Amino acid sequence: MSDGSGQIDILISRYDPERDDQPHTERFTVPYQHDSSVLDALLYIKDRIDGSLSFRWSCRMAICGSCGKMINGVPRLSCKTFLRDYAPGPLHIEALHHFPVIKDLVVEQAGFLDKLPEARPWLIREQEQALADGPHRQSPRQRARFASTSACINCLLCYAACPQYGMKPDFAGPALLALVERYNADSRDQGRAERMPLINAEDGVWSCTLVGNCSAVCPKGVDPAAAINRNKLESAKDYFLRFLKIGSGGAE
Amino acid sequence: MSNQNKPRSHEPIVWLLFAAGGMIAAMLMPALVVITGIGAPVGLIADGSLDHERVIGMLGSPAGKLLVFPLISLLFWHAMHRIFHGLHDLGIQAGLGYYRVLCYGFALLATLLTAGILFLI
Amino acid sequence: MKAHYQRPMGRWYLRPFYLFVYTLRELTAVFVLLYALILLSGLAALAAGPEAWASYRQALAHPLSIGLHGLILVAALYNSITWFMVAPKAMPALFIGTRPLPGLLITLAHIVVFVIVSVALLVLAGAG
Ligand code: SF4
Ligand code: FES
Repeated sequence: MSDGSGQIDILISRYDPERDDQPHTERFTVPYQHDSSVLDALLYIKDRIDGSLSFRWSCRMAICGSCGKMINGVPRLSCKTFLRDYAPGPLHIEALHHFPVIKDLVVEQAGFLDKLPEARPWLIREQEQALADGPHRQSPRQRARFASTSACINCLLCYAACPQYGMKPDFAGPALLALVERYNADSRDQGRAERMPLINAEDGVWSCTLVGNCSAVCPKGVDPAAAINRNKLESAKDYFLRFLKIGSGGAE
Repeated sequence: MSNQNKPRSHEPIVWLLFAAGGMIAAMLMPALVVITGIGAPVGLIADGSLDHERVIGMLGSPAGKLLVFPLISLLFWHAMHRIFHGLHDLGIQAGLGYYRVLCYGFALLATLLTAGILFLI
Repeated sequence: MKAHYQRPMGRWYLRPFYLFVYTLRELTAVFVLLYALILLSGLAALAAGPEAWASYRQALAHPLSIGLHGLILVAALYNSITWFMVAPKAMPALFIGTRPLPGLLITLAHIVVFVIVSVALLVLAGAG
């Protein structure tokens, strides 16, 4: 790790749907300082070298979740990754793996977004509580049960780290299943049975082989691998205990 | 709505066997390999204790059978589950259903064989 | 509108990102299978009678067999370590008050049990 400033070579995977059949690599040299992020480098290139470079970003502070890229083969938030850690380079930047590339570093996120409703990511009540009855109270202990899974920023780094998603885009995937767990673990929620069919499905937890890289790359400590694999036990229980009780999830 | 149409996966059956076998493999296998594959053949184990009669007396007892049956059969389920998923990981798509039957069929066969042999002892 | 580009998966399992945490771990299954087969054939030899048992023991004493068991041992240890590392992810979440129990502690607990069980087995076997 070098402390100061200097120049770093950056290789960027470019793809122009109007012209290219597949991506090619372009080399750029950019200056950096101690606090320059990979996103800063991309902005430098777009502003001063090649305005046609396409990529997503917004907050620059690791909270909007839009700036994920493959950085030397590992999915990372480009605003949370610093050039100094890669000096003297070269640093290779690609679009997030496993998603279709629209242009340069911009990917099509439908493979995740279209599945969102399947997670039922809202509080489900058997019976709505009347407003007059006051708020749903929750203790700090109850809150702690979903503190980590509710930290997800939908950056999709975990999908880019998951080979099972890459091979099988129908797989619900890490963040979606972590979201399922986030609501199931919420003491105010009563919708577990409605989410069980997704968990129980082949495209639910059962496409996971516990590679574990989703949790390793998550910038928010969500640990989707744990959320998924804990639910394998739940799904297995549901599989065998459904013969004892009626009303558990899943079409036969 | 759309959720309710998702067919339930039957993976829990083989996954539970895989997980049980995995715990056995992780906890016991290194020591067992040292004992049966290295220590015993090299002669590090007390003389005479590996004679046919002695071993039959040990493994053939009800308690011995009760230990040996899950040990051997679950190792097969553990291994074949991973090997099947490994085929998928290698990118094999054609005939995956056939390989599934082959892999878990093999584990089942090995389980029946183990039970059969233990029954004979 | 032109098509999006879908990157092929290629041999993803050989990339360093996956190789050590995953691919090698899954590969240990081949050695587990081998060992299970060796144990099963031992059981069969035992059932077949004293001669078969003697030749089984003779085969196991061959240097090639001992070398193979050395390999199986390495694979088994790799399997154990990786199994204990993912164990906290596969069991229900535990909390101390509002704080989640660190996964590392659960891994360490597994390793402690592993060491005790292994030593016990080895001592038992050594005593005959
Ligand atoms: S689980 Fe983590 S890596 Fe996945 S989308 Fe959420 S914040 Fe990003
Ligand atoms: S720009 Fe918002 S997370 Fe990086």
